[in-house]
Amino acid sequence: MEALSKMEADQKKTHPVGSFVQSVAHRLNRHRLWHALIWAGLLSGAVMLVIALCYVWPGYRVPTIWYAIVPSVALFSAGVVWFVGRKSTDQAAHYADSFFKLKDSIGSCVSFSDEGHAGGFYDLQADQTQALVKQTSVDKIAFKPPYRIIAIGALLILVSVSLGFKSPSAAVVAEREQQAATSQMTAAANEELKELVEELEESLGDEEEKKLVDPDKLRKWVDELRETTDPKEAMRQYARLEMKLNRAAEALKQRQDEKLLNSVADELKKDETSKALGEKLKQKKYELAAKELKDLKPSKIDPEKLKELSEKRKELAKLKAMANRMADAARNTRSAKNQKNGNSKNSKSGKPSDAKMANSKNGKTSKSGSEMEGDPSDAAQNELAQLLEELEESVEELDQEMEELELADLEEMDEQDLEKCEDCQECEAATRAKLDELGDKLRRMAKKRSAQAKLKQLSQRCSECQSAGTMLVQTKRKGGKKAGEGSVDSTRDTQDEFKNNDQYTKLKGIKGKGPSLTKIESADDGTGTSQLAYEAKKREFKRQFESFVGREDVPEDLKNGVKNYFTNIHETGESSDATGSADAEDD
Amino acid sequence: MSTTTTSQTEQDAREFIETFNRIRNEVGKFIVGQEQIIEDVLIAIVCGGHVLLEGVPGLGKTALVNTISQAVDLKFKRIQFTPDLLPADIVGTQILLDRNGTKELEFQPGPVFCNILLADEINRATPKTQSALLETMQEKSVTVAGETHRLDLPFFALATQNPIEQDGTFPLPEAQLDRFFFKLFVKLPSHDEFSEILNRTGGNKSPAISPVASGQDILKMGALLRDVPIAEEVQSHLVRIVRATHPDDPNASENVQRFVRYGASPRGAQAILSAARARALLEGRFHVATEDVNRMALPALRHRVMLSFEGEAEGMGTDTIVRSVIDKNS
Repeated sequence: MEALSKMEADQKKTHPVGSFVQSVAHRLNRHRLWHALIWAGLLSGAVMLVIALCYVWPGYRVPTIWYAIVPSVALFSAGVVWFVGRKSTDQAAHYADSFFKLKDSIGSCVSFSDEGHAGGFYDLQADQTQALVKQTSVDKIAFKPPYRIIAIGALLILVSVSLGFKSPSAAVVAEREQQAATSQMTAAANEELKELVEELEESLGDEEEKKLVDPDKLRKWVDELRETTDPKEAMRQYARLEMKLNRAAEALKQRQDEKLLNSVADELKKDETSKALGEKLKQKKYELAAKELKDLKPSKIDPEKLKELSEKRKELAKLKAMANRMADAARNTRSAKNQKNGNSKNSKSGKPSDAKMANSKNGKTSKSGSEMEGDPSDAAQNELAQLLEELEESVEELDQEMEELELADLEEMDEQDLEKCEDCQECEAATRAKLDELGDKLRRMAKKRSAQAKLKQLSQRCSECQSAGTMLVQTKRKGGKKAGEGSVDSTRDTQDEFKNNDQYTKLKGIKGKGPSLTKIESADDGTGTSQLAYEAKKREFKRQFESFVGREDVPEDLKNGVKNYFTNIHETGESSDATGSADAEDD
Repeated sequence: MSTTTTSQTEQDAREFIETFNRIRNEVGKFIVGQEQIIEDVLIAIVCGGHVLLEGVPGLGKTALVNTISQAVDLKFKRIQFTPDLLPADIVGTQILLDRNGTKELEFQPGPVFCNILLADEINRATPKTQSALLETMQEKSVTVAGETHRLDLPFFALATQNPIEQDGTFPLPEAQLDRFFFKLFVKLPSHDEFSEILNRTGGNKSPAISPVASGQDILKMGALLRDVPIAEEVQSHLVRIVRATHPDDPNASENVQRFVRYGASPRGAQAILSAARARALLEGRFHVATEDVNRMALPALRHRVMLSFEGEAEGMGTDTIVRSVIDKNS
């Protein structure tokens, strides 16, 4: 009972002090909260200003979301800081002792009370503290707003908010429009290329053509294209695809064979009977030419119808004449090439190659190792030339066999005659086989040509996409470059099929003798316009064209006109190259 | 009942202040100025401690002690320490007496058998003689020839030291220094104080000092002091300060780490606590405050901090070190 009353008396005594301390703590925490909020405002203003400047400086608009995020984070942080740093009762007691200069009265009173001390000096101390507390007021603990911080924070917030109303610059707007246009363009172009690949696959005839074109690979290349907002990246990806397509088309080249067939066509056109075939070969209608060759096949020799042999011989004569012309063309082509190779070797050693010259006179093929060197196209041309010569041999042999058989006694054929008949049949079969082989060769060439054309078509479309990307890049820049200056933004691979196309002059001396001048030139075989010079010119025109298209001070119509012009002369150059060599021969 | 205790305590506290002020005022009649010294000496006396006064000759150290002894009506003895002083001259000795035909040894008490002992120029006596005071100051008893003689209470030893004329002196050992409650520096009086001294002592008449308190009053005051409460945090502050005088303590100041060899012992903390309690009461408070501890730390610790060789070579004073400790831990 006594203890309870004592405790109650203690509580009564300490209660005012305790409540005073609670009031002090509450007040201090409230002040701390204000401070936290003010500092949060300052920091959020500073952060927001920095963020706004990061956007506004390069010309962008400040996203509104930042005005929600930054203050929210600042408020949350302020709340956390305030919560963590709240004043406890002890801290409030110490603060009150210090503020009101009570010399640890409140702190001691609270401490004694917490420890449960009472009586004697403890009561006196509590009474004394109580009296001191009554003389003071919590209101004296005034909140002193940090006006400077508030002013700076308000200014920062005001500036950052005002920056938020700033519109994006014209350059940024233009850039975004360009990005949108590029994205649209690439999406449309990619779709179109995919459709083209599908159409191309549908247009392919047989498995052989499919194998040549390989539409799966094309589809894979087109699928690698991505929709992008960067015009340069768009140009790059289309340039890469175009390069791949060009390489694929180049792999299907059969220029040497076509050149040989041009020569053959020119020979065939000299005769009325073979003029039609020659025309077809000249126009590169190899499929039709193969059909016509099929019609020229000699009919099978029937032992029971040997009386018709002379008729058959007359038919064969036509074929023979054709085969002779074709073989002659092949030999002429080959000998011209051998002569050129021989001349190049002679220029090194200084002596003419007699064997080469002899071969060119005889018109026979030379199977020397030097002739087997060079491009794979040379090997292909040799194969065709050899086929033509073998055809000629076969036809001549058949003709000879038929002639011998014609001399035989057809009424009473002995064993020897029967053997001749069999030989004749064999020769006839061989001739038919050679014609079939030649026909197959021509059909393959036709398919290759078709595949190459399709790949070129796809490559052309890529080039157009790349040009569209180039125009998008140009629209980004204002003003353009100075007149007379161009830019080359081409990403095409400038390498071509001629590896050794350097022309250089070397001056060297032989010991004991005077200096000698060695000049090395390399050029392709064949007469007429040098292919090397043509390729160099082609590259030069390509660069000039790209530079011209890249300039902003030239009207678009003019650019398109020039572009078409160069495209056309490019095609004309290829066709005239073959014509040029034939014309040179005629001369 | 608790109310009765409280009022009794309050009355005792009031009496404490009144008695103290009476003694202070009475002493102040004769001693000019030196208010702080008077207060500190009286606090030490009330706390039952001994004081070491250091000052040049002629500043009134002996007069002060004499006046205090008159004011509290206590037996006062003075010993002038000289190099030839023997321990027996201080504590007493046994003499051979011829009584009724028989020779007996009888103990003759020395000058220490008093209430207030003034050990003048204590550093002039030999260490052997100085150590004779050790038991006296601590145990308040004297042992001679195996027989312990208790001193009358209260007993206070006020020793003086001359900071000049160090030749031929014997510095007090640390053990003895630690037994002094306070070490106080008596400074030269100001101009006005000088004049007043001359006024009071230059004529034929000098102020009469009346006893205003008794030894029992002093003992009672000392007992009351022990009840003055100290909060946990204030006590912790006190301990921190004392520990910070040791160079290996984390709270030690840079000066302590560099210039101090040994720091204060727990006896120093006891001295501070007693003195802080007395000061709190004198200020009318019923609890010990941090400022009481800070105020009493300097006189209680200055003689308990041993300087290192570097400190002595630098001429570093212990007052500077103790102040740096207080400042760092406040």
